[in-house]
Amino acid sequence: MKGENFYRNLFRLMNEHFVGLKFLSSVSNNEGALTRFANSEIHQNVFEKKSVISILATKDNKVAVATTNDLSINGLKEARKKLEQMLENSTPLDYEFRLPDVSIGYPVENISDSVKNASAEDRAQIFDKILKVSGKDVQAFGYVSDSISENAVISSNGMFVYQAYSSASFNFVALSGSGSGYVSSTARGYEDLDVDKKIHRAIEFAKRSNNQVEIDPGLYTVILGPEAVSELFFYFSYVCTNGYMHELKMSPSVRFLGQKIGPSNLNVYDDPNHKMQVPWVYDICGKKREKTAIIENGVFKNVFYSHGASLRFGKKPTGHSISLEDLDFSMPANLVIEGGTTPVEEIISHTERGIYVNRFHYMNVVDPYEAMFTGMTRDGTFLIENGQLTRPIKNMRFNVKFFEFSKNIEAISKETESTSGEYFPAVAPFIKVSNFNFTSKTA
Amino acid sequence: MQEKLQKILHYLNSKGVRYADARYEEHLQQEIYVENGVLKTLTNNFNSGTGIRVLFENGWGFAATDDRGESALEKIADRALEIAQASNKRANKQVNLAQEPVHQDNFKSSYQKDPFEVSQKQKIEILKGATLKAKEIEGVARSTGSMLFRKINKIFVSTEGSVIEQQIVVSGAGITAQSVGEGGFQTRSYPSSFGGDHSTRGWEFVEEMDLVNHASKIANEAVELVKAPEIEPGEYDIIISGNQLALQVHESCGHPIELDRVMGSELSFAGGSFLSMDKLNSLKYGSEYVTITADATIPGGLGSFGYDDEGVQAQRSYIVRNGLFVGYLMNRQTAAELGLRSNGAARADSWSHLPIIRMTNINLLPGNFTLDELISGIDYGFLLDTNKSWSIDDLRLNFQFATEVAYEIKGGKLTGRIFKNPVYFDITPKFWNKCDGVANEKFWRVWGVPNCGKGQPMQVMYVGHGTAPARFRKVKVGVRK
Repeated sequence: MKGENFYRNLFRLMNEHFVGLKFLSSVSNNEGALTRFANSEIHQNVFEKKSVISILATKDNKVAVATTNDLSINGLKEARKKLEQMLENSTPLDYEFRLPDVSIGYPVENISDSVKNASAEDRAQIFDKILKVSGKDVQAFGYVSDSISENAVISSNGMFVYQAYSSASFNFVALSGSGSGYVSSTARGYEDLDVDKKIHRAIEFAKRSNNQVEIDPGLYTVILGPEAVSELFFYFSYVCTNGYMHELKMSPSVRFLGQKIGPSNLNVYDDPNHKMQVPWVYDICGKKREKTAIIENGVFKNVFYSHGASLRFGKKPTGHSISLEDLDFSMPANLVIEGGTTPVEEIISHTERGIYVNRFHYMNVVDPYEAMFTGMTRDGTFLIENGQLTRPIKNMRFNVKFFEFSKNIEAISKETESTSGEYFPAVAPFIKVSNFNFTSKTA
Repeated sequence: MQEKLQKILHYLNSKGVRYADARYEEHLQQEIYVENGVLKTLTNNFNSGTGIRVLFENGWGFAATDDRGESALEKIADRALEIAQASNKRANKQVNLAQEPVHQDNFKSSYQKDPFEVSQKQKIEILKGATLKAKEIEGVARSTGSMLFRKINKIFVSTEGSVIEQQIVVSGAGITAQSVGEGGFQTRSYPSSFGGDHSTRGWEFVEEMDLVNHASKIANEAVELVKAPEIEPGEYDIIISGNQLALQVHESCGHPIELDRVMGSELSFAGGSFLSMDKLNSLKYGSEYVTITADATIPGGLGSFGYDDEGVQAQRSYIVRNGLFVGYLMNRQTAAELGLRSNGAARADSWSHLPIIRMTNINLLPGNFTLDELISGIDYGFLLDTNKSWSIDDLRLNFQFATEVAYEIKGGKLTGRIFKNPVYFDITPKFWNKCDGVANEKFWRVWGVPNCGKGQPMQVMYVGHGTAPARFRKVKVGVRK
């Protein structure tokens, strides 16, 4: 970790070496380690330490971005030279560009000691714990990782914001014969990962999901576990909340924003301050990120405007810019799907016939205009009969339009869990939904 | 730099490691993105750093840094060793590495025109011209164009004595046209979707695309697609175009032949593989028309190189021969478990990442048909072109692809009618056994896929797929509801 003073010094250096050039810069440093295991053995064990500075420069309404991991004075000078060359060759934007307003904010440091002091041996000890609980009948696959990230946003008009945060993460596939179970979690530190409780569930699912039966594709009542819920809402937020696409009328949000799209207890937020989330409190343009409603009381409330999209369409930036290289793209990085009031056990017990889905695999967008997604079930799919998970079933493919899914939500569990996700961590409950469309089964 | 790397390996040798290698890499990348004739993105990205991999007894460790200070390499070597020692404490089995000759060599991917020597203005003007030409067509709401260029210089040294310097140049470009109407929006892309096509060639690769002169065709098709019908769900004979077949090969052949995946290393993330080792040399993966190679030696292939990131020389090997499954993609450790030489598939996307088994160029070899001959063998069916969406299960069996367009075939001829939102799905070996013809070498080319994700931490790799249009019988199409 370089510490706030390093970035303050960089702020001074940049303003010294970039005189005469308007710029916005995001500089970050990440130190991360990951221990990966398969077949109950550690097979990959890595550490990486890297810095990067992206500098957006603007002149005559033209913009260019230079990125380098050489943070020395020579590196900065070289970046300036590149930027000047690029601005010379560049052409003006078709809207009036200006640097973001200066954010005023205290430096934010949110680092867990458990991550700060973690060693390869510490990560291996979590692996040891997983092995011990798994026993001889269950093989373990997964990873344990931690990282400390720092990020500062610096601009020629005087912006300096700094944030540092830690995260710890794990996932675990338990394999028993042909049966498997999966859990994951991401938190600020190891103390909040909930490893002990979660690994038992993965092992239980693995042991219970041997000898899967085949069922026919069709419309089913389904209870989705938090992993599956997180994936589905991630794709929703990716496809449906980008303000730029909304303004181009190429997003499903055009038809659904402001509409009631689900039950009144469906509440989805982007919340960097949630206790189970990783605190990403400034976006890449330095905009302070606050808790923002995406769906509130079942109503689709907001789409998000990056810095570029906000200037182009006369909107307020919402703190969701994630790239200086694509100023129009926005994304909620701290997705929280709030829990309801009913315990999951009760939701299951009130389900006469349905399917429990623990996790989805390889989701993708089939039709962005309809927010139609596909994917497979994986690592714990069970038939629910008379209020109980009874028989494991072979994996199924679904094709689901999100806004039909959200309309068909019947229950949201009280319990919520952290999930690691493929791109961003999320917090999600269990959700019961009717008419979930399975279109094929695997071999 | 080479001397510094060798010095650090001497240091690690003195600490008692069994094996170590070090890679220093410099990556230079330029991206240009234009929308409706307006330049939106012009970037230049440079990064460099060193990754060190250590085998201590039977435990692996890897550490990487971009620190440039004198002591940085020694610190990172110590870190890699500490990690390897923690791994070794829990190791249950002997790690062996397949034998590989010591190489001291220099490799450069060949190009005629260095893309970094071509002016940015020229590149921007081409993209502006192409997107404005598409936008001229009534009904086009948005047209985009992009170019990407990369130059990677790397030095690899190992405790076995290999010293390899490589330079790989990548060039790529593509355009899209989008139209919005009552039934949603539709996209057509050229020469392929998701950023176009990419190659380890130079600027000449982009010039040959002739983007400007292809803009009107995709624009007209995008407009027409908005009003086009969808295919009535059912089983049809289909021809899959080369750019879509590239992704079909990628997902249903390229990934399941990765031997680390077969052995379980990816199970918690990207999944396993149905191609378990008992199926080698026994599974009828496809029909007699299906022959697939892994070939890192093709000039210009996006998955081509001189040596992989373990210092193994680039090779060509058979994966499927006349339908029979005969080979995997391997690194030195997994090859040793089969008693074979590695076929050179250990690749890292950056100095900061460990090499893992990745595709090179996984190629469906050309057959004997012309495209017209393939079409003439279909009474009623479709030619599906350009990928729109993809998904496959965790064993790489149940797949579903969507393409941008379906061209109707009736009575052995293209009718000129197009259909929107085509989706097809099947089970991998069943599907490849339905193949009854692949177009000949005149229709064959290597497509670049620049965004193949695998591993944790995630690595995004450049890979290639040689394909020609191929025909498949009785495939379920139009399954979406």
